[in-house]
Amino acid sequence: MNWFANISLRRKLIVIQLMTTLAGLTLFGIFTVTNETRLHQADLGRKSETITRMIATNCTAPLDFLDGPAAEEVLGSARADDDVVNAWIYDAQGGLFAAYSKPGSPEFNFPQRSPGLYRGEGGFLTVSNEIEKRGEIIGVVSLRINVQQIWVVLFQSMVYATLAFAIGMGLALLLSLLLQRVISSPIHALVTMLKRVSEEGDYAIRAENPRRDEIGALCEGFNEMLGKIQQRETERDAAEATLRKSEQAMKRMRAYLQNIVDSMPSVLVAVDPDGTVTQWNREAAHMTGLTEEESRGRPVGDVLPVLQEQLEKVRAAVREGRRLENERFSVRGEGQEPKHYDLMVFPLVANGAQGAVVRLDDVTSRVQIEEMMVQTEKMMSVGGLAAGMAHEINNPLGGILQACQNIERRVSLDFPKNVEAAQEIGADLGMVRHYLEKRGILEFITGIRSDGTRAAGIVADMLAFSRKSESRQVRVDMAEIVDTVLRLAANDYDLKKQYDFRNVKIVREFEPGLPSVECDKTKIEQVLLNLVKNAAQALAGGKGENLPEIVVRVAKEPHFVRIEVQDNGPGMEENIRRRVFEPFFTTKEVGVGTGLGLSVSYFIITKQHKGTLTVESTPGKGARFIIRLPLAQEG
Amino acid sequence: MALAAFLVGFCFAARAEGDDAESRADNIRAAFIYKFTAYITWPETDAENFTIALLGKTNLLRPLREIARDRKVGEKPLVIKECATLEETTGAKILLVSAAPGCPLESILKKADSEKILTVGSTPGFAEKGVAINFCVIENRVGFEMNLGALKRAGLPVSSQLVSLAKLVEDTVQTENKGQPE
Repeated sequence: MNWFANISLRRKLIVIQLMTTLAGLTLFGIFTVTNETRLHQADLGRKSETITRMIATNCTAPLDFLDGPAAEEVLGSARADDDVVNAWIYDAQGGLFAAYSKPGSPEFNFPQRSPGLYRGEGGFLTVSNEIEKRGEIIGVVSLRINVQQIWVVLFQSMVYATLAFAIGMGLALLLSLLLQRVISSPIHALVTMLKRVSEEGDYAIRAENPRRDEIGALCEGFNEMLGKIQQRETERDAAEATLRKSEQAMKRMRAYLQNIVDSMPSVLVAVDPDGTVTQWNREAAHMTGLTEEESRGRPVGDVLPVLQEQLEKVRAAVREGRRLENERFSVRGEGQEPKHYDLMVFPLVANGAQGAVVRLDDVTSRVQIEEMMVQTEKMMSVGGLAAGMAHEINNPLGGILQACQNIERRVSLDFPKNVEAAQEIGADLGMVRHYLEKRGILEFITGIRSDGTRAAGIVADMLAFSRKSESRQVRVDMAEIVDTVLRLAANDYDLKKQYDFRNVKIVREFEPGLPSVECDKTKIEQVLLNLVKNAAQALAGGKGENLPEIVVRVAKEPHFVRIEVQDNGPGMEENIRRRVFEPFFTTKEVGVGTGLGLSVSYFIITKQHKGTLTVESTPGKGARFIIRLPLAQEG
Repeated sequence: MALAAFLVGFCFAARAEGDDAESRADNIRAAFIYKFTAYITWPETDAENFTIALLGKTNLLRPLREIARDRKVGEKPLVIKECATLEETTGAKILLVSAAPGCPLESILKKADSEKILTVGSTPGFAEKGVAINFCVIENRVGFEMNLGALKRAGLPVSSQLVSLAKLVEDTVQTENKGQPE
């Protein structure tokens, strides 16, 4: 019966209607056919008995008077009935007295029977009746009757029953369709409507309800329910929208705050009153290598080891709800430069929150810059001094150098005037010159001039720190400057300074399409020459396994032109690297460097061109100086 | 049953020639006379016996007496009475009239009509003369003629079955009496 439970109501109605009608009509048909057959049988039986009795009565005298022809005549009267096929008269001794057969029917021998109805074989019925004369039985008459007619009647009954059945079923089908229209159609419409509601999620759909019966009440009930759901849905949607908006705003705000916290270049750590980490920003993760998940819930001292010695202060501040501002402390690792930090603790007081925010800034660079600034200030004062001294020193120096030059010129054989003057006094200029050379006087004079020139250079370098230094900004092609510098450097070798460009491989890596830069060409050339010379010196001093090589790169950055001078020399230790731009800091032997070259370069690039000069180095792997010059000069 | 066997025996015997054949035919006739009693509605009387009277000389006396020995008609014993005169026949139900009854046939018939006596003959022409049932030979078998007018006059209703077996003859007596046939 599962199939029945699963078929549609419409089909159920039709099936029930048809099954009921089928059962009723079948029962009716069976009853009708059976009854008709039974009645016909009874009728036939009665008729046969009547005929037999009549013949028995009429046969009494012929049998009594042994009048065979008369008896046969009586039997022959049975021919009036088409159904009688054979008739026999037996005498009291059972002997056949007379017989009759319907014309055309075969002879049939029938044994004598006692009175009554007998169903014969092959659709024949035998009826026997005793022949009586005043209570004395003088014989028996038997009739064999064809009952095929019963089958005809049965067939007719069945035809009528079948017709009635077909008409009944047709009517039942019509009725069920009508019922279906009246009952199942509205239910089907209701189901379709509910399916639409379910599929489309549209609770505004309503069932059409033109009726006042139970189905109408059902539709009304559904409509009411849908109305309530729709109202609830609307309210829920509105609430959800508000909630969603709030959540989004909150999320945005949280992300924004997190972004702010993460964007801070400071280490920001939120701690609870016990000093356990509750929040951890990106800088903290960057500094410690621990993610927020890894550090959350752990004591701040464990995850921020640099705070180890400051923990007591932090705890006290958190406990007392007191701010701790700009507490500077230093931590020195083994064999490392000291690192400087600024520590701030802000107690959380708003909204009943407990704990504090710890802010930690690595101010090592700042401290160093501050220190450098102090030195720069020193240089400035040197510059100021130099500017004041320049004339005073330059004038005597000029006198000395000019005098040296004059001495050299006046002992030269190249000038006829010198020869004449010597002849006037009777001396041979050649001899004089020979004497001077022999005694090394000319060499002294050359030494005086060389040292004087060097002194003038130092003064000129010192003047570079002077703000008064003139600057002629012109737009130049950086690649061209680099080429010029490299050409100059190639011709410049100094045995004393032990460098020789002829042994150094120079590699140029110029990015194509470089923009021109506005700068003081001479100053930039000075800086580049200084860097290239330094590199060559570094390569000369080192005993590296690699072939000495200097790579000069020029590349474009969004707002700068970057010039790199890289060597594959011995490189620098970190503590040296940090100090290379300090004035008067040098690792070269006394007399080789003044300690001003790199600091002057730094000054030219940073102060005069608003650019940057940095150095990267790994001991044993060489060094790389990086100049960044802004594309657009300000001021 | 015995009578039937008897009757069948005589039936075939009747076809034979000679005295034996005549004797068997007499036996059949006697049996027929007895059988007639079943098909006629007799008037109610106080008589103790059912009497068959024989008037004149006839061969049927012996077979009738044979039949009457162990048979009754209804509840009444069957009695065969040989009569010399017509008066002796009074009280009989059936009167067997021989070929020479010793008295005029008219008087016999008159008495029979008045006393509701069935007249039976075995002489050719008797039926036409007014005897109710007269034996004859039909198709070489013993049969009988019947004068329905005589039966009506005698007031004896007869079964149609018996009538259907009989050869009906015209009633000349009635014609003579009333001057026109029925």
